[in-house]
Amino acid sequence: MLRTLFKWVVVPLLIVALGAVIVVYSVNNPTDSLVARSLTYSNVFKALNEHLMLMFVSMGGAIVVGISIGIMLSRPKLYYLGRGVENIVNVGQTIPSLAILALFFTILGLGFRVAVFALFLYSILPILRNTFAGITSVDDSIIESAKGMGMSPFRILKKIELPIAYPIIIAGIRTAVVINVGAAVLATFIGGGGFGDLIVTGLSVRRDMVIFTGASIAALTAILFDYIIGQVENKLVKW
Amino acid sequence: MSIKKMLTILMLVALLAGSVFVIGCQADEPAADPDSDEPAVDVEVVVGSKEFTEQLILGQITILALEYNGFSTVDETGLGGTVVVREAQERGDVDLYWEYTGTALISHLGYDEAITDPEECYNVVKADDLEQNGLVWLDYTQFNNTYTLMMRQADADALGIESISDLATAINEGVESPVPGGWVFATDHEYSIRDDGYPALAELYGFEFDDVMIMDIGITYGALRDGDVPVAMGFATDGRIAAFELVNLVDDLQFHPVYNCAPVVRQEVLEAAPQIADILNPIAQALDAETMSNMNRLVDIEEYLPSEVAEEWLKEQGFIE
Repeated sequence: MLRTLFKWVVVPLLIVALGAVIVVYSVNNPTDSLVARSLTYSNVFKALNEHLMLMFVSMGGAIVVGISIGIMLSRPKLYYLGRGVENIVNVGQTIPSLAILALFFTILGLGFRVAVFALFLYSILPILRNTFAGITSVDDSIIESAKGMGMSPFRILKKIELPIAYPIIIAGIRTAVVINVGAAVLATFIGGGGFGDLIVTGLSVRRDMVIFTGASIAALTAILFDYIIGQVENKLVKW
Repeated sequence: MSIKKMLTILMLVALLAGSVFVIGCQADEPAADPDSDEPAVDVEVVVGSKEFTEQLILGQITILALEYNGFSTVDETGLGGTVVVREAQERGDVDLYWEYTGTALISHLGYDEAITDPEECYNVVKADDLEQNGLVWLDYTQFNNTYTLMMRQADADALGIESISDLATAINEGVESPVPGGWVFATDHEYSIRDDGYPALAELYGFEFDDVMIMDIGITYGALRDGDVPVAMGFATDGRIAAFELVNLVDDLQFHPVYNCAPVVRQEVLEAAPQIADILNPIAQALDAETMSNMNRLVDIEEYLPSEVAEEWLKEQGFIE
């Protein structure tokens, strides 16, 4: 009981508290007027809010779409497509996130929604790949015996394939989240907001404190979400 | 010997020959210098610039002019922003770049009052920078590339807005924004926080935008043209202002200082090669607002390379052949 409390409440709270300490300290101890103007509570919370929105919306979409496409491609009828799509996804993953943002900026214009869309597409890739790889890695003999027991394909998916593939799928989601938090920083170049506003502003006027505050909170966000998903993973694996 | 082995050896030989050729080419380069009339100068000048079009063009002009006169140069143009290039110069990593008087006054020398007379601003900056930082300001250009707030011509006409005061009044009186989403201001990262940037401007004129959208400097003009925002910041000499049918709002309270541009050289480099001043001073004097915004337009709209535009202009003016 105590361990559960520690895992689910205390550790996340500690991460949040560390972020809060960094924000409070840097807002109250600006090194000069430029830093003071840039690091106000309203600016930092605006950035945090935008960053989380960028992340939640794009990740939510990516998890739904990535897992469903991954499952579809692993069905015997579409399996021949799966290998091809997997290769395309692997190639897609090598495109730098900045290039993806720039590409969609030229096609769709600027702003929050375009940034969300680019992040969404970019985050689908690891989830889709891992879902497909996880399900296809399930041993054929297990599937055969399930069929022999008279299980329907849907039951096989639900009772056998997905539970076995869970750790791999969750690992894909973790990868996507960490990439997503990092790439969301770049949204600032096309007016998408987020911690990138602080980091790039800090860079352009060379104020280390502004860069540090923006970057460390972005990093803590990534750590926090990675940790939470890791906990969810542990729980699901036991189940 | 198998065919595979022979092929491998052939490829190795080709690789070797290739590298010898490349090294040979590099060795040839300095030997080409005596062809020009001027004697080669034993100073390597590192030329820097900020990241936007006008700076890239000025950087290329400098490189071409110096190389024509026998200097060897290192191209460090396109560094990420004012402070980066300035700190590189203070450390000695960059020898020369073009800086704006108003920027140096406010950002580098820490004045908090703008000076709106070009000559006075230049003199203050020149004296202070030499004394404090060992940086020499050569002659300044006639054009004033000040920060500007822009609107689309059609919107400005429809709302009767000509100056920033008009804009402030319109926003304070609750006039509806010409684009959906309210009075959103598109700005780059630097202007959103500079001492002579948006926060102080809003304070002086007594108004505030509903929201500030921070983005890369190159795309504020397009965002305004496409109706993503009603007002955007830009640079007064940018070629896109005319091309996109935008209009500069008059800074009627004279908030922005003057930003005449001048080459700034490290003192040691200038002492080692005083000819640099003789080469660049006539060039700075020949650059006026029309020339500069035309060159900016050629790069931004007609998609020429900064180096092509720079070379064309230098030849036209007879600075190089």
